[in-house]
Amino acid sequence: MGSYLLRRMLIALVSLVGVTFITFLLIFLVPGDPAEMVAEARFGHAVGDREVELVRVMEGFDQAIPTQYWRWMGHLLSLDLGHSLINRKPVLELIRSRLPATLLLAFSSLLISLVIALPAGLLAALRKDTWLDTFARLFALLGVSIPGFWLSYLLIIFFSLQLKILPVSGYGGLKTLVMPSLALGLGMTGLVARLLRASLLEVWQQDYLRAARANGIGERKILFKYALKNAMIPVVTVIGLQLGMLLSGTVIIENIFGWPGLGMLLLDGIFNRDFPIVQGCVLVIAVCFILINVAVDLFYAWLDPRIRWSTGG
Amino acid sequence: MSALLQIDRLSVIYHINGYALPALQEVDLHLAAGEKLGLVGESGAGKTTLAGAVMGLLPRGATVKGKIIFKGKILSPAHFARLRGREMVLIPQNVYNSLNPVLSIGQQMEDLQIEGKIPREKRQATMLNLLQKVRLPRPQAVPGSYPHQLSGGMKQRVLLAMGLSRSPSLVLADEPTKGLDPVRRMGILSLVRELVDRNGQSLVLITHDLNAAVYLCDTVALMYRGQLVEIIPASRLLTAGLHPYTRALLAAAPERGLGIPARVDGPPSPFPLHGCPYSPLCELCLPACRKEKPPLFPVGHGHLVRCGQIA
Ligand SMILES: Nc1ncnc2c1ncn2[C@@H]1O[C@H](COP(=O)(O)OP(=O)(O)O)[C@@H](O)[C@H]1O
Ligand SMILES: [Mg+2]
Repeated sequence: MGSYLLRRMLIALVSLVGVTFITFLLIFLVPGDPAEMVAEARFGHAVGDREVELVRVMEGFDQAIPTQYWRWMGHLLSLDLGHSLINRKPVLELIRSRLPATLLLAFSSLLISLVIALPAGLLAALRKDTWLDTFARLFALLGVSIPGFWLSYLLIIFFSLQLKILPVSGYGGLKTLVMPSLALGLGMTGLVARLLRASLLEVWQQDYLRAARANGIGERKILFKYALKNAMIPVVTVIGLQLGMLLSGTVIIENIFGWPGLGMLLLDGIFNRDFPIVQGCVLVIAVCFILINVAVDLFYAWLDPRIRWSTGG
Repeated sequence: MSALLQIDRLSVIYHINGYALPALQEVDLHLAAGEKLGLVGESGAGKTTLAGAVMGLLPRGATVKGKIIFKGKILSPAHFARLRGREMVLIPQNVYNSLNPVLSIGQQMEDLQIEGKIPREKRQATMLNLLQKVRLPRPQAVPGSYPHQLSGGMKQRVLLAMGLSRSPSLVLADEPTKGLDPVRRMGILSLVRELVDRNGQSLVLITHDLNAAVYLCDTVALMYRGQLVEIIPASRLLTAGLHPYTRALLAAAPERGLGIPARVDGPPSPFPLHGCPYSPLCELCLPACRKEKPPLFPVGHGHLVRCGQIA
């Protein structure tokens, strides 16, 4: 148990350091001279060379990249992500004010996904080759294939413009949460339902279920205790991966529905070439991604004792 | 002796891609209370299918005909669920995948003691007692471990302990020594005999080891391609086996003690639906054998043979 966790934590730590480095390098990937961008933001559009050079020295843009990275990391460790070039607010403040909206959206997508996908996959497997199975599989295929942004517009047309029961966009209350959550979570719903069905059908063939039945274990227990825990092992992996996809999906979905989260902040930052914002958002999203992976690894170990006790590679 | 289990003209047909495979053909079998029966035949003979039919555990889509009478009652699908684990139990064939990989041995064993509200300490004690009975080394360490931490022999003992936990009157053991090394094999077999004898349980031992059947059982039934070809008291098998298939097994088996020699492991020809199942390989085959299946013919001492030369 210990060695497995230690290994996963180590991998997470290395990923974290890698992420900070790549995020730092984002400054140089944005076209233009960072010193000039900062000077423009500070002194207005008509900056002269003097101001640019002043900023370059003050902010250390003239130094070697490792030195700059070291300095940037120093700020990062004291939770200083810099200031927005546009409105001069601390990036951390901005992120802190936007993060709850994104987490709410991601969490409710996950919830809706699982609430639909798990029973659907289960029923499809139990009622294999009936109309119910066919329907669930068709639905899952659609879910996987339809892009989120397209579904967003379909939902808006149907629920907002035709039925007029949900607002087109906005933030606040359950009504505004429904459409973005559905649009964001549909891909995951389809995937998880399909996978659970396949995985359960596979487990259904296993000798240990026949042996449990031969020992008189009832069907309900067979399904929920003996089969499902095994069937969930591959599903959990995919849910973990999909959660990462979900986070990146928020960038598009938030902008369609005017959802004031991290994704919207990031996109605005990109359009405004506000690189501290871009860096901050990317960093936070990446850290969330890594944390999710650690959580999935823990859950995985709880599910599968073969992993929990393994010591080698 | 009164019959505990009686099987009456039992036929099972599997359907694979629209092709019907008769895995059992009109099998008649009788098992007295406390009797130990060895069911011997090469793989594919239908031994596991027979056990599955008795337990009501055949795969969906298998067609079953005939009657299974247990303690005087004709079993219907509704009965099996109530009898399994309590009255009859199957020690499964595949040791390596018959314990749930994600549940501890303790969790799996506790699920077998669900009747009534038993206090936790009592459950633990019962469990430990069972594990001791099957002579597991360090039994107190077993409940907390997971299947992948146990060796094949230990798994087999755990499965045995689970099967015997509610003292069912009928124990079906499907090749309980398959995949174990010869030293362990003997240990498991004597353990099975000892436990079953102590409780006066009836046993159906499925094996393709003639010696194991003779050592453990009162009666041996030989199966070939879904049909019983000979039923014989175990004590007479080695000297008085009559059916050509039995004789071929005997000729090849005693020195090696296990396995099915290549000579009797027939070519994958289609099942002959008419005539004796062994006729394509039989040296004593008569023209009549190919046309009509000979009956199981009694030759005295509870010995029955299905052979055209004898009937
Ligand atoms: N689930 C199944 N579906 C189709 N055919 C099967 C199935 N199980 C067994 N069979 C076939 O039925 C025959 C008898 O199999 P089985 O009862 O497992 O024999 P044994 O246990 O004596 O080796 C074999 O020809 C086997 O291929
Ligand atoms: Mg078998």
